Amino acid sequence: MRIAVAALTGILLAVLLSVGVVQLSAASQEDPVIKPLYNYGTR
Amino acid sequence: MSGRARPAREHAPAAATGLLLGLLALGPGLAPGFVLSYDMVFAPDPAFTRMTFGLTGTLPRHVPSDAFVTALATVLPAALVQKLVLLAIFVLACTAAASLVPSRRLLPRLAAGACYAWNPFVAERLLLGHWALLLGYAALPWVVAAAARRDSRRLILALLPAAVGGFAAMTVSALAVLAVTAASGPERGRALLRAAGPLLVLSLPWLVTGVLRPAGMPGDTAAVGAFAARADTPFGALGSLLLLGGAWNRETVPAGYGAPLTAAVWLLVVLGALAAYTRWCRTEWAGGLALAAAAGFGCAAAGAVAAGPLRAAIGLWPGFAVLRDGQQYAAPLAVVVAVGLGLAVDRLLAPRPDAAGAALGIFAVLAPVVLLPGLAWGAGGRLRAVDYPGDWVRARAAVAADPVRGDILVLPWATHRSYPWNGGRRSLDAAPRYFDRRVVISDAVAVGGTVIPAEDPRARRLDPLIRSDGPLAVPLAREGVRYVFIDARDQAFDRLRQRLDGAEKLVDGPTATLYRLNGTFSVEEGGVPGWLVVITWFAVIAAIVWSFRRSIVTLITLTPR
Repeated sequence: MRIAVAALTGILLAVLLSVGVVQLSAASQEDPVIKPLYNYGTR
Repeated sequence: MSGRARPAREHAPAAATGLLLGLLALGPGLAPGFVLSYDMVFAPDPAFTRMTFGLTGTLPRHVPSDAFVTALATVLPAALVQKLVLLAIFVLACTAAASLVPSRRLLPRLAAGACYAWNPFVAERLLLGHWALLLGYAALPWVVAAAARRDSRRLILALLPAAVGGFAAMTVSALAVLAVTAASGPERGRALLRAAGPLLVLSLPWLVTGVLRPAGMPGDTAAVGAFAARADTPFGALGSLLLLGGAWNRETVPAGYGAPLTAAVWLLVVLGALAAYTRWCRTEWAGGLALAAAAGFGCAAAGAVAAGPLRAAIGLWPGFAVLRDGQQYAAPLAVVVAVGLGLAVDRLLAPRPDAAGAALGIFAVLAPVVLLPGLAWGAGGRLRAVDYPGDWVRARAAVAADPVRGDILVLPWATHRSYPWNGGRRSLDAAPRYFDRRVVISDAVAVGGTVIPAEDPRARRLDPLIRSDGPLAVPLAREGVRYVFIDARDQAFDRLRQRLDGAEKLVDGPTATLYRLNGTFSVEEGGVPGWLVVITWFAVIAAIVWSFRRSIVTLITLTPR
C-alpha cells in the first residue's frame, strides 16, 4: 500500500513539475508589459 | 513538551538543504556584481553616513539594516555581503523551521524547512527586495520557541536577525512573540512585560529616529489601496493570503505561479498542513503560534477587506500605517503551515522506515519546489547581478575628491528607476547608497495611478522648485545642493540640461550625468540629536552582549520536541 502511495505521489509530482515547466516557458513568452518608468510597481 | 538538547549536527542536513535551496533560488544573482530589485539596493564600499543611522529626517526603514551591511562591508566586498545575506535567509529559514517540528525523524523536519524557505511569501518578498524583512521571517520559528520558554536572553538571540532587519521584521516578530507569550503558561501580564523588554530595546535604533523625527509620522491613507493584498491565485485575495502569497505588487509574482492546477494542489497541501497542525501539534507554543497566525492573517487581510476602517484608523493615529502592506503579517501563518506539513509527513511515514516511506518523505521535501518552480534560478533571471556603470564610478570619484561640503540632488525627480544597465528591472534609485554624501531624491512613491506623497522634509521643500520650469543651478545651490546627478534619460532630459545652465558638467555618459554647482550654501537639517542615537545603539549592543551569556549554539540546539 505504501509503495503504491509513494509511486502515485511520485507520478503526481512529476506531472506537476511538467505542468510547472510548461507554465514557466509560456509565461516567459508573453508580451512584455510596458511599465511606467518610475513606478514602484503595478497592482 | 519540554525542551532538550538536540546535537548541533542534527541541524546540518536542514542547513545544507537551505543552502541548496538558496543557491537554486538565487542562481544568476550569485554571479559577481550587485542584485538590484525593487527595495533591495546594495552598492560597493558603502560608508557610514547620517542616513545610515536615520539622522536625515527620512523615515528610518533602512535602520539598522544599512548599518549592518556597511559594517560587514568594511571587512568583505559589499557584493559578497549581499550574496551571503541572501543565502543566509534560506539557510536560517530552513534550519529554524526544521528545528521547530516536534519529530525525531529527519525527513519531516526537512519537509517543514523546505516549505518554509521556498514558498510564495519568500518568493514575492525576495523579488520585492525585502531582504531585511526576510531575515526576521527566517528566524521566526526560533523566536516562537524562545518566546514560549519565556527566557529573555534566548529571546534576544532569536530576535537578532529581525533586529538587523529593522522595522518590518521586528513588527512581524513582535506579533508572534506577544501572541506566543500570552498563550503559554501562567502569569501572562508579567510574562508579556518581560517579553516586551527585548522587543523594545532591539527596536530602539529605528523607533527613536522614527518617532522623534521632526516631520512626525506620515499617515497617508492613499497607500492603503495601493499596498493592500491582492489575488495572485484563482482563490481571491483571502485565498491567496492563505496560500502565503497575495503581496500587493503584480510584477513580483513568480512566473507560472497561480495557475489553477498547481494552485489547487498547493491549496490542498496548505489545508492538509493546517489540519495536521490542529490535530497533532501539542507543544507549549502551539496555541500561541496559532493565535499569531490568525492575528497575522487578519492584519494581512485588513487592507483588502476592511480598507475603510483601516483608513479611518490611520487618520486617527498614523501608527496604524504599519498595516498598509499587510501581507507581511502572514509570516506566522507560514510557520504554522511548515510545521503542519512536517507533522503530516511524520504521521505518513511508518514507524520503521522503508524505501516507500523514504520516497514519500523525499517527495514532501521536493514538493514546495515542484509547486513553485518560478522561484528557481533567480526567479527566472529576475534576480541578476550587475555592475555599476563606469559613469557612476567616475561620478563617485569626482564627488569624493571634492573637499567642499554640499548635498547631491538626484534627477529625474522620482524614487524608482528601471535602469537599462540593470536590464530594465525596477529598483529604488541607487544613488543614496552609492554616494557617501547626503543624497536628496523625491521619495514620493507611484503605484499605478496612485502617488503616495514624499516623506522626506527636504524633498518636500524642494519639490515646487524642481517641478517648476525655471532655472535650477542657483536656487539649488542656495538650498545646500552641491551636485546634481542625473541617472536616467527620458524626454525631459534636454530641458533639464538647459535648466542647469551655469553648472559645471563633470561626468556626461549614457548612464549618468553629474553637474557641480558653485556657491553652495551650508544647510543644516533638523533631525534627532546624534547623542540620543548613540545612547540607543549603546543600549542595543549592551543587550546583545548580555544575551550572549547564552551561546548561539545553545539557542540552536535547545528546541522543543
